[in-house]
Amino acid sequence: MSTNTNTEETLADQIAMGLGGGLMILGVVITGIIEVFSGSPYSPTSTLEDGTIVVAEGVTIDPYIRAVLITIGAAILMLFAIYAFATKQHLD
Amino acid sequence: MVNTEVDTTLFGTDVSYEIDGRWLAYFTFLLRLMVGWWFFHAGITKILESGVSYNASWFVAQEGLVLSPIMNLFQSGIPYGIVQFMIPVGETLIGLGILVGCLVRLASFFGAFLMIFFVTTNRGWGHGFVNSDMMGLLLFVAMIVLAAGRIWGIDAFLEKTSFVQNYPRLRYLLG
Repeated sequence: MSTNTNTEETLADQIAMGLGGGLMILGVVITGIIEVFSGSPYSPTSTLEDGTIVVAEGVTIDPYIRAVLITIGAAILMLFAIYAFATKQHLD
Repeated sequence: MVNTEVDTTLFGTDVSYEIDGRWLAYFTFLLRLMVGWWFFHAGITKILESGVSYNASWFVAQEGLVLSPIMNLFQSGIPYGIVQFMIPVGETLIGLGILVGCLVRLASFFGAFLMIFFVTTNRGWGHGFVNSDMMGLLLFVAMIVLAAGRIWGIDAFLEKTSFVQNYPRLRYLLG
């Protein structure tokens, strides 16, 4: 028993995967590795006693920038989902 | 002994691997129940506690966040009323749909859409960016990719109907 993806890989597939997933990986994993290897603090935010969330002091990469990368990546994947639905991509 | 081989291309390179189809189906179903219950519980408890007028001021009023320019538009009036209604009702319907396997891809799309806002609003990054909100976002994507509604779900029945067969685009909403 086997499966076979018998549809062509389109440019839209590659853009969605490369850019969408790529930006999310950049925002989470790659910048996370940079953050860890640059020393303490190892996490981007900290919570004060009153519950306020603040950027951790000494953080290397502004978590706002990382969040923007992740959001744009996720948005690209969502746009691809809408595009695939609209164009009936990969449907016989 | 594995019984399913995936044979495809990824960025132009051949990717081929074997996977146990039975365990794939089983775990997809298990995951679907977990994800569905998680969101259904989140929504129904909000409705039980405060009806369909959820206090979403913490959600829409924060400034300086990635999506604040969009969320701040919903701080008052009818837009705020929409948010108050849609968070508990939306979570309940998304969770219920995934739980029973009906319109799973549509429900998961909106679940992921909601989770993007929660990821950037809650900012629970005290232990890194991969927190429960991020995991939730990824789980909804998993529901879409795995077409989780097709395993013992209502979507499995719906996809066999002549209506869906005649309009194959609907499979992007089902599954």
